[in-house]
Amino acid sequence: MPRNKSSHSHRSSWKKIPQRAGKKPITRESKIMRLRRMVRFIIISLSTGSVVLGLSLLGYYYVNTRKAPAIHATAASFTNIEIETDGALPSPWIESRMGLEQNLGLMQIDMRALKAELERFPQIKEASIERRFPNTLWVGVHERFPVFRIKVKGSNAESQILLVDDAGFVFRNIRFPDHMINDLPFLAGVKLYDTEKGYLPIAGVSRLAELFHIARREFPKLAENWIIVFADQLIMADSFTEGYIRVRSKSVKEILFSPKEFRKQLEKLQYIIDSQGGSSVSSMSRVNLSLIDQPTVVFANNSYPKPYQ
Amino acid sequence: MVTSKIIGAVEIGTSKVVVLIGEIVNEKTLNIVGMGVSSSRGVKKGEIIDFNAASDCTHAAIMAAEESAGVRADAVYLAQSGCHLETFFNDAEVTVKSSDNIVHRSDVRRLLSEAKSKQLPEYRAIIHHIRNGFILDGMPIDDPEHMEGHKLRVGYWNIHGSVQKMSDSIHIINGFGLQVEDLIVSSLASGKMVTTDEERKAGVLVLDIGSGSTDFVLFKNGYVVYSGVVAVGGDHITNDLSIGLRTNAKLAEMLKVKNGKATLEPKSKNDKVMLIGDLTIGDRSISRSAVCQIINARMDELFKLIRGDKHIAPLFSNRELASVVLTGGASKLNGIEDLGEKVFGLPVIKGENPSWVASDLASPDFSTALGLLYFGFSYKDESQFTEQRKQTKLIRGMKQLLGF
Repeated sequence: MPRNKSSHSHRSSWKKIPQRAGKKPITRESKIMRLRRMVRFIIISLSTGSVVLGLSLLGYYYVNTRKAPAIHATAASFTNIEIETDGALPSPWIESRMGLEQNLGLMQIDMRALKAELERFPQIKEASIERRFPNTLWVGVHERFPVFRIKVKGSNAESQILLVDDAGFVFRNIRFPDHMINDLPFLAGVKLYDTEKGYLPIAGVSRLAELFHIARREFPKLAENWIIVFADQLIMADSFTEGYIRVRSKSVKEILFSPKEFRKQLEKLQYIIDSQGGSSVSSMSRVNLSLIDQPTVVFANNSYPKPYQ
Repeated sequence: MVTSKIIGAVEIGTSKVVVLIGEIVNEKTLNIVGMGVSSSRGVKKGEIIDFNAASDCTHAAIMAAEESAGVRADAVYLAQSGCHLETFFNDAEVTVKSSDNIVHRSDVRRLLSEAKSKQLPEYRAIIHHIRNGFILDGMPIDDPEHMEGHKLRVGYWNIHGSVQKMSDSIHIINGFGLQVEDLIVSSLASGKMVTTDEERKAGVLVLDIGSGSTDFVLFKNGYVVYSGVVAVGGDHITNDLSIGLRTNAKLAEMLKVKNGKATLEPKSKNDKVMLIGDLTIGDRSISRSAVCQIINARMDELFKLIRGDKHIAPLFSNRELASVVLTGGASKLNGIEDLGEKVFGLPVIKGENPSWVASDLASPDFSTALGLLYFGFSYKDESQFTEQRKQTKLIRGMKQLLGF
């Protein structure tokens, strides 16, 4: 075997002979041994991986699918149901919708299911349920309040009235009195999207509701005359602070509002109407307040007021 | 905390490969947990002549040993034999430096470094530096530190071998994915096993008669004072019988084992032995004395060869040796002690492995492998394998599990 003279001349101990363990196996036995080690390594790696994956899945399954623990009733059956609501829904109606069985123990009530059952009705914004020992179940209901009403055509081509709250949620009227509903202006110029879970909320309604709330609270005489609020020019704008809001009232056919500084615009409108006096009010066909500081008024049938003398 | 290390002892002999697996527990206990033996190929007179064939049989034996042990060896102690091994004695002397003539550690270090600094010929590498006793102002002592004196002397018995031959045997072990922790000359390993401290102090010559060669080591005053290899072994007897009796090697080997004797007995001159023993074709009777004569001639030659060695002969002349111990596979030959006593003029006994080994390993065939394990257990420089010895069972278990 040829050897480099310089590579060995300095050697003094056998320990300087380079060892090459782990290099290519040369015999059948060493190949078998290496193969065994490799197979064992793969099996152990896969087993470890499987155990880790299994435990992870088990944990995930446990966290995501665990049910309310089955608790046997230790307390007596409840005898009282206390229902508090801030809206129009009567207590018997709410109680009947809860569908509670007789002689059910307080601890046997599935609070989560009960809450979900109540919140299934769009008019109910949020429900709270508490066990009040020894024998009372307390139910608190927070309802949606309508700001506008909207007329839609049902599946049988008959028109029906739905209500819209200040967040744009659309819901069917349950027990709100007629006089209250009839005072609400119609909302027009919006599209409704019906889904399995009900209508999708209408975007931008909060701006309209703000205008209506200010008008109702501070300029009630103006607000009570409003018949229709058009949202089309607001929704079509790039943002809900652009475009304008169109209102049809009993006295003026078209009032245009900018979607900002509502109070200032309403003051201008009040001033314009007041300055025209009672009989001449109906002569205005269009008041454009969207420029805020420079409102314009269009009169119908050339009934312009006489100039000051 | 339980610490343990699995070590392997591998002897690649001319006729067989022996592998033992041992577990060193807490550096205090050695348990022999596995054994593998395979017939050898590719080895002649203790040296590798066919790398692939030798690898095949060595790996088969290692695999068998590891399977019987159920664990994988962390490192291997490998026996080294063959005529490439050579020895020389080198001594050095230093003057004690301190003014009060007290020997300090620095003096000892300087002396040891000096004694080991002998240059080797090209392609040769040291296997063992075996230190003999210190001599302080002509007086032999075990540890000179803190003693008073002027001149401190020490000698090293150095065993070196061919880099090429040692590389071949190391690479066979490497081919199985194992590292060689230490190389140990066969005669030292077996000599340590079959002799007692008292025998080594009194002076003993150990002959490890293998198939292809005979390794010998000479102990005096508890130290190794000489070792060597003679390229004559049991296979030479078999070969002589095969030629002398005109039979094949296999039958000659059978004849040697069954009917062979190293001494001549005049009263059995007319005895006959059957070559095969089952009266099949080729079976025939042979004179027993012819068999014994052939064996006797070869063994006599071997013993005289060793006795006549220039380093050993003076010891016999001066009656400095107490006994001769025989070990190795060929030492099982009948009458070998009588022949030995006649040649050496000393008590000759067949060596026995220590009583702590299992009966399976009591045969002299295993004395070298046992000696390797014993060397790995007790003679290792601690700093060399502290790291591995500190492995806990848990870490080793993980490594075994993952196959590393």
